[in-house]
Amino acid sequence: MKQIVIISGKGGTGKTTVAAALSRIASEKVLVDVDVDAANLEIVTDAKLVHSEPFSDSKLAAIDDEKCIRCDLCRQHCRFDAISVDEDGKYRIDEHSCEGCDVCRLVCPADAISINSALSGTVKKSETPFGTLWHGELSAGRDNSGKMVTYLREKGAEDAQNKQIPYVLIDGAPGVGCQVIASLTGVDLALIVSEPTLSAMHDLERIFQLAQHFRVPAILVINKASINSSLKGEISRWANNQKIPIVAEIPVDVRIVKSMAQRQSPIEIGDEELTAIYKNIWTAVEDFFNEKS
Amino acid sequence: MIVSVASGKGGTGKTTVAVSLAIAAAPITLIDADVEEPNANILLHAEKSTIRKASLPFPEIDMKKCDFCEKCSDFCAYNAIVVLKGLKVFAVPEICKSCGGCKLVCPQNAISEKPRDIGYISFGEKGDVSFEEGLLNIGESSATPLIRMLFDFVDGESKNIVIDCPPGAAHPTVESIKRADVVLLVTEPTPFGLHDLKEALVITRTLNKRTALVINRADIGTDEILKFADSNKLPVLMEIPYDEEIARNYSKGISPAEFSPRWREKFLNLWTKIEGMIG
Repeated sequence: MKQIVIISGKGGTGKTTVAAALSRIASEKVLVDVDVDAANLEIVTDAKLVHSEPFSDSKLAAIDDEKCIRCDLCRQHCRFDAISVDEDGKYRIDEHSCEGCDVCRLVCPADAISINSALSGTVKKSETPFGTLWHGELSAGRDNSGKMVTYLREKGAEDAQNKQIPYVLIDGAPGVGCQVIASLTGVDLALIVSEPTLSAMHDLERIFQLAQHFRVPAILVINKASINSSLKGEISRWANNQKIPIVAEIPVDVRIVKSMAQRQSPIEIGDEELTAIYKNIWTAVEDFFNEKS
Repeated sequence: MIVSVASGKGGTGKTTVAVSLAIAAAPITLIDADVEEPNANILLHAEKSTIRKASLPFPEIDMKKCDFCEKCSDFCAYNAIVVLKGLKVFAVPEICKSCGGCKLVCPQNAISEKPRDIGYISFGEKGDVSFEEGLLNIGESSATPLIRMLFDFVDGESKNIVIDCPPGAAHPTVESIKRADVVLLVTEPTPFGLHDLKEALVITRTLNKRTALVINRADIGTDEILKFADSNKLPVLMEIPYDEEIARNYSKGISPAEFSPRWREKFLNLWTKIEGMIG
């Protein structure tokens, strides 16, 4: 079983569009959406929820106002700026900043602080016409520690293993932080989706460094390739120098945007040339693993 | 006035809006708080005058004093401290959140804190726009502390501030909109835009922030967003059509406010409307 993660660095370059297209093309795979801040793959895969469960991996402090002696020690020791004093002099925990480190409880001389498990979100399993989809939703304002990402990946991998499905296709998150690190570690291949804009190219270099850092091999898709031909040339040269194979160039095509807005994928447009481009991406993925074995 | 430009979904046009707004409403300070992938200066072209290292306190264990009691590793909520009994005790930088708890619990006073670099903060100017940007080192996991540090340099300043926020709806986003007088959410009229907008709204509502929308690529997709905005009493302050000229210029690092006086005027108009919200 092989795990492939789709990442980009910059948001909005087309990760989910590529994931949606590949979901139609790859015959045997389990789908996982690890962008738990903004999970969108379910929207374009006609997903029917079959199971959901609460997920709590975080801890939050709570202050018992009756015991609190206003000594201010908790606020002074909090490194996350999560404790404030309101107009009435009451000490408050800001749940959106608290990291559950337990230091406030430790320093409180009045035993007024407790640390409790907090719901971080929901983990979901759905069935789609294109295979099982594991996805999740982080409650807004919670810490994205990457634990939900890791959990979803484990579930997807377990599922694939049990049903002897050869691939797990993971739709990743933007950025290079916790959630992306958790989605990269231990996967077999990173499919990077970039575009010929200065911003996306800046982020491409950073996401590639991250993949290298975790020793994950990468292949590259240039999306919106026709938007700037000279920058496209620059990406190609850069990829060549870094020895990252470019496996597809997808043109700017308003039909792609519209298909996604209709909750479909670019494959449903029914344009043979366009479909062939996406097919080539999946063939490149399969070839990558065939050559390796 | 502090305006945070945010969105749930990535790639909706936050940076384009934030930079254009800053250029149009200058003199102003523009802060790029998307420290994982800061791109505002690609559109602003400020010359960076100062670059500082940003660091967090990181525990160092004096093995001459350590008696392997394991109180530090038991306390650490993140399992960031490794104890190799009789050999070595150390903290793992990628996991440690610098809460300082291990130092407090150590009965032998064996733990001290040394600064550990997590990224850079740089400053620059472009015309009447003062610019500040955070850049997280690759492999570093926590963006939030670096974002918090960005505000240490502007707290108490009276200048207007525009903040280009990271995507998502987790702690880094919260940190970037905490101080805002108005949060401007940039969205697009697709099922994705709407879905992620709802997530972002949960935050702006719990933080009790005045919130308004900018709809990008407004003529592609459906009017679901407008209906949603209407029924939730969210003012739509600007609609930007899908425009190849904007996209082509963006690819080269040129913002609408830079290439077109017409757009600059529209963004100045947007700023006036935002000002109107705080009355």
